[in-house]
Amino acid sequence: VADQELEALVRAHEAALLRLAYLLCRDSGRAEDLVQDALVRVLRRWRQVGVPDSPFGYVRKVVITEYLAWRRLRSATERVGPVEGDEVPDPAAEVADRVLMWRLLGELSPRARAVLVLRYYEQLPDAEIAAIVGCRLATVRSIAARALHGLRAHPMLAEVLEEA
Amino acid sequence: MDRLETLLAQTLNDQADRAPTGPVPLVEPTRRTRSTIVVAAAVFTVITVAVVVAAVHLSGSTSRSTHRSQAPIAPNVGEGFRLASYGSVSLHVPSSLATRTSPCGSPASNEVIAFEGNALLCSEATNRLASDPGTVVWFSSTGQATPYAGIPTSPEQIDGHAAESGYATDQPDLGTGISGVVVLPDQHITVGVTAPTQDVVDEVLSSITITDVDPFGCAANRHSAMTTPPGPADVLVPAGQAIAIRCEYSSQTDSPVGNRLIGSYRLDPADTDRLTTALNALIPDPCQCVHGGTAAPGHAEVLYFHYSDGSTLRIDGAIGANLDEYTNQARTVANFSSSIAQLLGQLTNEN
Repeated sequence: VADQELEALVRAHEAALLRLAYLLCRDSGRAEDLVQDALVRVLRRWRQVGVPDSPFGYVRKVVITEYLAWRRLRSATERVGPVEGDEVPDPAAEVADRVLMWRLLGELSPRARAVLVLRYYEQLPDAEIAAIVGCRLATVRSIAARALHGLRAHPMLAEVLEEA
Repeated sequence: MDRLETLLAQTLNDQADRAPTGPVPLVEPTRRTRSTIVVAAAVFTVITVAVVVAAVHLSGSTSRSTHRSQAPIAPNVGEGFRLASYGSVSLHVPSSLATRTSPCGSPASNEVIAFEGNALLCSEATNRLASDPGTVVWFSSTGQATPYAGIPTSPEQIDGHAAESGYATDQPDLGTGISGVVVLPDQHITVGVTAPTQDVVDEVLSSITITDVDPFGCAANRHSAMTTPPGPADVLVPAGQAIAIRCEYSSQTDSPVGNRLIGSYRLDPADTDRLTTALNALIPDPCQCVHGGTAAPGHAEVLYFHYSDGSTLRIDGAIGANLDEYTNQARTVANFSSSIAQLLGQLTNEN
């Protein structure tokens, strides 16, 4: 049952999971690795204890926790290469702003990036983000506030925001 | 959403289109190097533990008669913040805030309130924040009247304990600024914070941890404080380079909040010298009225002196109405004025 449930879930939500993973990892290969790792872990778990009430929510949480654990394990050995998509700025100013924003997102801590992706891409409420990331509601708010403050204070982005 | 948040959302949506499309095989991955990293981490951990154990053994070769120090005395607190503890709750507060142990008499303003007194002695009217309170961190027993009682809360978990938390901006008793509250029913503790900005409120509330022994080594309750062998009989506090930790405990004896921690501080070496000199100047106390039980203590102090050789000495202080006593379990001294209590308050609130 667990295998069938997971296969069905993957068919329905694989693209969404890969998108989430890509926004976290910023690399196609790593995003696929992350989703695969998460799904294997989920499958093992479901075979043991059964399928939870909210299967997609569960898988999404595992993707986030795997990502945060991954980053901790790999941070000492991982070399951050050029980030896909930010090496060729589009001449259009608006696209250039987004390229800049994408680059700055890459400079955030994994935890802060995860919080912003869940809040502004997945559009989840802070309470749900806290449950996924495994911290307190106040911590999510604090992480998000500090990350936004850091972005806002970046000289190049401040210039963009001022012009707007 | 403001312009920044809109740009952020647009950027994430754009970039998501670059994500791979799969399919992702549902088989055990083989390309990762995680096992290598885990093994390396394990080896590193084993080596680190071995080095630490060896260091502890080596430092023990010149042992005093006193207890080996186990308390970490340099908690990881961000710049501009200091540690504050109340019972089993430890958190970070702006370092500019002094601590007082009762909100009676005047509204709170720019301070940490560790309310350990009897609520009946303070009317609710005095439990108010000043109209412009600056930053206030408020500890009290759950159920006591506080200005934070009106904030709507929602459930959450802190360190595995059920909690309720909430925020407000315009509550009548909270003055100006942003306020937040965390209620920990099973710890019988309420923590309220008011500050001019959300950042500070979040910083304080998100730093809450629930622990039996705080990062300075102060136990949540005096009865479970770390014990050490008796000190010398000829001097209360032996000479030597030391860092003093002050654990201040409530005089309330009612279970479950009795004798709980209401303040936790570290003194720097210069202040430790001042305190040592003042304590050693006190005369021996033949009466032992406070520790002997004939005078009810106002509150209790446990002072730990962590010496540079790794040993620790515990001094117990009982602060009475007319008499204070301090003992290292071999020597007890008396103080017929409040000079030590005042000195402790002065030194610790400077930290």
